[in-house]
Amino acid sequence: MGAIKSFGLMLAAGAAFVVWQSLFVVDEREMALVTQLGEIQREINEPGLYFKIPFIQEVVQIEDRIVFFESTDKSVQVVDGRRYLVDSITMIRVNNPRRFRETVGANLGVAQSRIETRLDAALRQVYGRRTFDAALSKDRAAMMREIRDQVRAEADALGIEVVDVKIRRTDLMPDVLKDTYDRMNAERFAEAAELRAVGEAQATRIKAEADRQAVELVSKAQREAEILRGEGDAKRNATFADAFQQDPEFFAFYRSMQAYSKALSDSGTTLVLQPDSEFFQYFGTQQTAPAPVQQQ
Amino acid sequence: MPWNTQGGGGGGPWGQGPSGGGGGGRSGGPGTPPDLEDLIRKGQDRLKTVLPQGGGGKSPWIIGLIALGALWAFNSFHTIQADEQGVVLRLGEYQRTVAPGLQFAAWPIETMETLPVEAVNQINFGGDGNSTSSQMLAGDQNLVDIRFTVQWKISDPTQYLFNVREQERLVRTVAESAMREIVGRTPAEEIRTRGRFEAQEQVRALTQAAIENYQSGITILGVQLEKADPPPQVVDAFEEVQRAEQNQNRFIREAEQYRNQVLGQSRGEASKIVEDAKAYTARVVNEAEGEAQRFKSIYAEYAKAKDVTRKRLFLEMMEDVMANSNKVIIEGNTGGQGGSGVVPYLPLPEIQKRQQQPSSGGNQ
Repeated sequence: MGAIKSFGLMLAAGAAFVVWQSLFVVDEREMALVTQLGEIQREINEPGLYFKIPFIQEVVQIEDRIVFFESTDKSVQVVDGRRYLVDSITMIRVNNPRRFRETVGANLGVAQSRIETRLDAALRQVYGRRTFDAALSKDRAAMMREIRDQVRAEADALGIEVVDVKIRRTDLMPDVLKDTYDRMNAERFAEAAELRAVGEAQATRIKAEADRQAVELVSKAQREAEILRGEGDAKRNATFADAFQQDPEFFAFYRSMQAYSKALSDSGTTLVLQPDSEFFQYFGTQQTAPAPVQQQ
Repeated sequence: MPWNTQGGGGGGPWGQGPSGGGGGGRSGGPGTPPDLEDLIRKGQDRLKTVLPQGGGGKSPWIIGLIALGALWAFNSFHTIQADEQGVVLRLGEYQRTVAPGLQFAAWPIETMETLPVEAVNQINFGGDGNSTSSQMLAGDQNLVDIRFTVQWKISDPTQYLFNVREQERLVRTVAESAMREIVGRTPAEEIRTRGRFEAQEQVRALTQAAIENYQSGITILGVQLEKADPPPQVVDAFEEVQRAEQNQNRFIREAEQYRNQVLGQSRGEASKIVEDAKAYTARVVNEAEGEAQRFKSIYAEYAKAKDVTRKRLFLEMMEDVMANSNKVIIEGNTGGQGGSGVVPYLPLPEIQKRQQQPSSGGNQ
């Protein structure tokens, strides 16, 4: 009784195991190959539940999405011998599972290293035909297309489609980098020096201009002043001439009187006189002049 | 793989074939119940034999069922948050996309994947300024230190799930490639200044185009260029340029200051010169007029009595002169031609000494 029961249980478990071994699900994100003793029997591209012969057949699941790998720090040379450091990204997708399995054993890593070898060559070739400037900027899109197309054939042999190749980094080599910093520094310092020189030149010009204007202003004023003085003198002369014309003889007398008075009236002048001048007409002669004059 | 997880316990019922697959097996196909009950009974019996002390007999069986049911419910009902969507796969095949709320996916045939479709994801590039990786080569072979962010969200859940592996890393690499391409096309000066917004938009468009090419179900919402500066290795030189600009301005300001000062001074000087001349003219003319008038007046009087006035003027002058001067009067007759006379001796030095003494004595 117990033996039968336990036998039944083992049978059920065995059946379940067999069923489990014979069913498999292919996800939307996958493809699958059914192999029998290493030989590919079926290729499944659509998701769903599938059967296989248990124990004999095996299922190889294969990624059915775009996967990508980076290829970093590749040193490539351009036309004039200068070098760039290039990072690239390659987007691939398995499109022929059978070939993928046959060539690289359905191993993405192996496929990647195969493609990468070809990619290196393509990078070198595509960069080697460009000048330094063109490789950096304007040809970039075309270069990415060229590299992709070159890698395509190699990848196709592995059952892989190269969806895209992108160049991520196009950098200078570390030793060139230092030169670039030096050049940038030198450029800036030159600019700074020029700015200062221009400033100084302008300052000098402004100062010189100011000095000239100052001289101009003052000399103009002096010219005006001389003219004014001349006019004043002229008017003075005219005024005097007009007045003194009336009696030149009296003017001479009158002006002489004024001049003597002014010139000689300082104290300290010593005069040596003979009393026979007109001034002393009445001085020292008693007979002619009466006393009253002196008393006065 | 769902099969692995349930292969041991509930594997039996599944063995009956997916055609009967509904729920957990209770309400299975109408034709199969006998088999099922048979199996259950067998299982029950076996359980009893395996666990000799069954206790209440039926209870472990019920407990097992309840546990199974709970496990099933736990895996079949999903709460989809407001910013999420669920993608239901039946046996690995895309079935439907479901909205937020409590959603059912009949496990283990169906599985549910939830995706935060409304969430805005942000990726930062170039955090620290010192790593050379954030330095990009600009179109004029100069280096620019770039920091930027990319915002993206899932626009198509099925494409997002099924077409690309490592979606975020894809966005990251593609965006960086696009940024480097755009920077490589633009002169450094332009990227740092007025070209920023244009560069942002170009990078966004370029990234979006590439991403769409892969049908990855991702939308690039925006690219923000947060920083585009000279690399730290040359920052000093750039600051030197700014200092030089300041210096230039200072030189010019100082020169202008000098100009204003000099011009102000010379304007003042010029006006003074002119005013002085005007004053001179006025003085000279006025004096002349006054003097002339005075002469005229005197002359008018003189004309009336010529001799007297003439005499008077002469005497007044003499008086004025004589009053203020030292006088030596020599009588003409004594030293004259008379012969016997004295030679007059005029001690000029003494006169001068006498002249000086009073003044010096006065000072003492």
